[in-house]
Amino acid sequence: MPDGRDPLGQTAEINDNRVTIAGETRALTTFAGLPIVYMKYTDAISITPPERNKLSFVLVGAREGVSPVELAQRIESATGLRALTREQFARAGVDFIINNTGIPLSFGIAIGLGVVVAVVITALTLAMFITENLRNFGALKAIGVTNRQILQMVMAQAWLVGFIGYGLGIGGTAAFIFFGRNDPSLQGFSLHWQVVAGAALAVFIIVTASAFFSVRRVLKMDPAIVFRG
Amino acid sequence: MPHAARAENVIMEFPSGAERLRVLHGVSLDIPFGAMTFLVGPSGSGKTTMLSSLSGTLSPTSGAVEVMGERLDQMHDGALVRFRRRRIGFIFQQYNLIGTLTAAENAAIPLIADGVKSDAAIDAAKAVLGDLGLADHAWKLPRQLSGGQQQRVAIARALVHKPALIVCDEPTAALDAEAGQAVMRLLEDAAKSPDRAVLVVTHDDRIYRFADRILQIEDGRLINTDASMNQEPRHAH
Repeated sequence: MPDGRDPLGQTAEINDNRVTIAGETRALTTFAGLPIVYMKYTDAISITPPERNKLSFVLVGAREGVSPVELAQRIESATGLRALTREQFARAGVDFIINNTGIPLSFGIAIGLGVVVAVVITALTLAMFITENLRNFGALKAIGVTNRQILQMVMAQAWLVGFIGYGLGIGGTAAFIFFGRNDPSLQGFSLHWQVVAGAALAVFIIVTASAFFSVRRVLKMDPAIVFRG
Repeated sequence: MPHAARAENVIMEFPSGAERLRVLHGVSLDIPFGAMTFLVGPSGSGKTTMLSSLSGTLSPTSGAVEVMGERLDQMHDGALVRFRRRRIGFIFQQYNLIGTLTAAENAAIPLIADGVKSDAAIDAAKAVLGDLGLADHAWKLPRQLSGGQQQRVAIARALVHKPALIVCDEPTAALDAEAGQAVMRLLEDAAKSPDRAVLVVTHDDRIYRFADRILQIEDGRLINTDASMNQEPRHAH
């Protein structure tokens, strides 16, 4: 309960009907954040407002030794209704969100903007570093440090900085998920290995490309620049 | 080999808008072993361009540049970089030390760039720093050193690979008179040897007395190859 009381035995109001809380469960938060109430179907029918179809799906448990795929096929052939396994149902939910909502576009735009900002900031930071140290690079080239060695040096620094930034970012994300795991409003977040690997690849590409384009100026630079006032 | 370095009729031109600006007008000179040769002249006279040519950091438009018997103007880029790394030591006006490296690491750069293992290179650098009175400062960062000390680290970097030619671009310009004199004394003691030449480009007349020979350049032409420039006797310091 919001005031910290034990919910068991408390009375709540749903659509002008009083209900008594008989138990609680730790359910995943729905996408829209609405609460989930478990009750008998007949009770649910009686307290929900009238609408054409009140039954979205029926959960079915398979007996031990019965394959969910086989069970779903049997239900479909027996009832003519669509039956899905847990995995198929989850996939169908994801597909629905992708195909019928603006969420992928919104998320895509946010991620795209993030990438653009990351590229611009990384490239500008590296370009500033190069510009500020132009004479030192000129000195190194005059001394006899090769372009290849300078490229290796700049790349090593860029990768190190990128690795630290990536570690902080992924670490922060993981920490957010870990420490929020008991907060009902934060449940449902997960960090898949594909996200970790994808982010690493994106950071690597952004840092490498930015460093390369920034250091091109040094590679083409005349070492005699170090002597100019 | 009579001279450490020699320039013959060196012409240097740079693009300037639609035209080409001639900075050196056929300069010929030589830099002897065992001496400190000063190349002096006013700002814009072409002395830095001449230094760049003689150190192989800038290829002349025409003319010959020879260092240790090798024609720099005919070398391809890779050979030129190797030559500079092994045969020439550089001392810059602003020291140009890498701020995140210690004095020893900075001084070791020419050796590390040439493939010497880091430990051996830093040991060699520490030895040279010791010779220059910086043994206790080997692990300090440049920002922890005074200007004079930083220039001594730069001298160590120029000496660590035992080059045959050392070129110094305004080595005292960023130092006060006392520190400048100290650096020049050190440079004279450490760098001058019978098998090495030192070329100093400067317009700081307070250090002319350290010169064994002074070449004067003006408007891209060598106007005096044996200038006294009112230098004091060499035993004065």
